[in-house]
Amino acid sequence: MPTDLIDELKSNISLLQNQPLSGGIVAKNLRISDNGSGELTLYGDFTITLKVLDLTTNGAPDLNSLMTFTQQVITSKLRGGGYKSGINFLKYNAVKKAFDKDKTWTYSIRYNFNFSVNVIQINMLNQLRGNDFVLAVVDSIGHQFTDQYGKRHYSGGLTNGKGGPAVITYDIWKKNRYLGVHEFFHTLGLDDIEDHGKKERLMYHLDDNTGQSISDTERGDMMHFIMGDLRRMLKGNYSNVSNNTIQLLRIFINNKTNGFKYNKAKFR
Amino acid sequence: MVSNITKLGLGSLILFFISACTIEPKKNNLNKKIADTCKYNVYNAGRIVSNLSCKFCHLSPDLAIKDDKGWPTFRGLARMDSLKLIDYTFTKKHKGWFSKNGPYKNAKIDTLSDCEIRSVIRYIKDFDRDISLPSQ
Repeated sequence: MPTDLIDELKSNISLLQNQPLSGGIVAKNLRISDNGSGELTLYGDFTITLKVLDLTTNGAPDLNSLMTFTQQVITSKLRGGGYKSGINFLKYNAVKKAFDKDKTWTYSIRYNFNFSVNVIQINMLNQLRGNDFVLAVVDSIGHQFTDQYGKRHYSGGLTNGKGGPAVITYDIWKKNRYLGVHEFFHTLGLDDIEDHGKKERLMYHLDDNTGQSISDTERGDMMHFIMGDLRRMLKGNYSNVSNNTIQLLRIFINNKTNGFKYNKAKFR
Repeated sequence: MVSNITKLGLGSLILFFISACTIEPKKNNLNKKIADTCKYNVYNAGRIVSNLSCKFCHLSPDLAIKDDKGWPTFRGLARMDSLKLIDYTFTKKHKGWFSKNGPYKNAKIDTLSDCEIRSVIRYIKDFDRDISLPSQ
């Protein structure tokens, strides 16, 4: 039986037995408030956990400091909730506390979520579960990319698509302390920005940032990613679905086109 | 015999020059059609997908290709044929939901340019391609 399916079953059993849930996203006290005029306010307490795996050859003496900084910035960027209008979905029935399968509606959504963020170090792959988020720290990354202006760049960090594991070069992370947050926000669904007119944004990735701001739209998109499915708000509690993190990380880190250099003995 | 071959050769040569002269302007037209000013910008494409609220129904980043309702996840969309996606979403307006008289008419899917539509399709298709997201 695949490990992700086992994790999924464990998560469901934990939910049924009221045991503590685990994973990258754990949500409690979820509820929806409908103002009757097309606005839904969503409430919930979320615990976001990012696990950091040190794969550097010579160790990473500043890792704790970088992890603390990353935890603080993620917490600060997720604070303040989010708002998004023009959401097309099934109509919510506040009396039945259910979404009507046969009726559609256009909503504005106000995210009123509380976040607790953990950035913790792990030493072994068996400390990872299928639905965990992971940031692996390596010696270097050979991968290069061409920006929209035709200029080539080395990558200081790489994330394996939305929801996937991320890899970061220790020395570049030390120089750009926001890099860990940038990569994690890819994991939470955000895209890179290359427009030279948006250098003040955290997701601008062409090495000459003038700031690290997150737009309201980006914050709303992350809230949506964290929530996943509006119907999950009716369940009260949930943890994110398994994306088989260990297997994804194994494939990603061994992909030669990414050019990761790291201590293979530590990848166990 | 030689004379016939010579005549045939000369005739072919004349035909070649005539066709070369007549084909030339068409070649220019072809070049004009090939020149494509549509540049893919992942951020802008992502904004369109976000504004259309696609991911509220087509869940992301689930590994499954359908959810418990039987609706395709975003990964499920990515595995569909591009032309079918364009036809279903932008021509048939998603069961008419996004048409001028549909329940989601305010989404203004009609205002998207051809380039924006192609960008959205690429954004969806890329979702299942495990493309690395690089950072400096």
